Amino acid sequence: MENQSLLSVNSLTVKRNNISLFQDLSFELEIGQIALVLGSNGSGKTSLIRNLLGFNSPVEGSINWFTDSISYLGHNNSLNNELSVLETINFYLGLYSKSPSLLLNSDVIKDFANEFLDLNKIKNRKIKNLSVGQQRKLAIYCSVLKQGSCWILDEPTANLDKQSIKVLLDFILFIKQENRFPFSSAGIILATHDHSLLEKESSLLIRL
Amino acid sequence: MNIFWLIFFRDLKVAFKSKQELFTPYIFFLIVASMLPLSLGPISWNTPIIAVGFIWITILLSSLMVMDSLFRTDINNGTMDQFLILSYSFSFIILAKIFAHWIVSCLSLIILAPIVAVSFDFPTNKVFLLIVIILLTTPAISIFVSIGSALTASLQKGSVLIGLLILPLISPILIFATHASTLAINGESMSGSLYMLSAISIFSITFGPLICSSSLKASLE
Repeated sequence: MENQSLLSVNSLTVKRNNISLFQDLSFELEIGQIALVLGSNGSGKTSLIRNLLGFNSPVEGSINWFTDSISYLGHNNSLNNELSVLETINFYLGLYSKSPSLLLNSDVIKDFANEFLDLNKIKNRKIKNLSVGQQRKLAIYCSVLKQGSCWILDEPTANLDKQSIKVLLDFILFIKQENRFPFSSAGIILATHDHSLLEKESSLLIRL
Repeated sequence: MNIFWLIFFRDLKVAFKSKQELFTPYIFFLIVASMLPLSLGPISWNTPIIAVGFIWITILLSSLMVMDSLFRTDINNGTMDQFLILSYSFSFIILAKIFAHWIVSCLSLIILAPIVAVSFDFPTNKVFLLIVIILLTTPAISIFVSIGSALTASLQKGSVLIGLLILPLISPILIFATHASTLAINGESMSGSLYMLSAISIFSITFGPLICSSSLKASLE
């Protein structure tokens, strides 16, 4: 699985409202790599990600995916306020066609759920009764359940406390490694404005 | 579970939990039903033809009321992005959402409409035919309103625009449905109108989700 290419981006130019955000951006992402997309607010990090996912069309350039298994965490948390935490988790497990018994009982997922999310405490609460930080953690947990070959995380640390950021970054480093059950090794694209996040560990640094 | 049914039951669950969305069509329907005789005054209002007009207008307007939120909630909270990156037909996902909204907004009116119709002196032995007409017509209405909802999904206040976009398209359906209902009251054969309504509904269910999904993708850009 090592050195398997996940994504190839060639000469990408993206504009928003006729204002050029970046030009001629090229990079390749392989399994086991972290691509850190760094930039200040409004620099085009989210626009780059939305172009990579095919939501928007670039002005120029090409994007070629070599996997269709993508875990995506966007700016919004993809959570419905009316559902409970457990209902949300079950919905995403169904959406990703994952076996709850196999996945939720694995030690890695259980440890992550307890340490990061404190799942037992909040599982019966409605989403609208969670704090903003808890909602962000649940959104991250739901994207973890997809077990994608490529993880795209847009400002994942927004609204998280220091301890939670540390747990999340450790987990990201864990999943990029080779085949840690129940995860296969993955490539990660992490967009952030925070220069201290995984800068040393990342294989690719994309400054916008 | 199949993703279609997963999204269908999830949308039903959300609708039943947010009671405002669930009860809005019924309350609207009952308010109009109780106000109509008062507004018509001391004329002979208890004629079945008034029941027909009333039922179709309220079904149409109550569909419009709830359809505004059909896609917007999922777009605003980011769930629609998750649907888009699934390796599953986006059109089927949209069809599941429309089906759930049809159950919430229209199917329930099928229970209320005959009761109201009978109170307007609609022949009781023809109520079953009225239910058949509503069953054949409302899927097409839901699909057309969904197309309007998808086209205006990127607008925060799109409900008025949905009406302007969709009402001309729905007019033929309304004409056939009213015609079939009138034929039912008169005891004449309404098979022609029923075939036409069935054809419109099947055509809408086949192509409507494709149009909705393309419109939504354009709205999300």
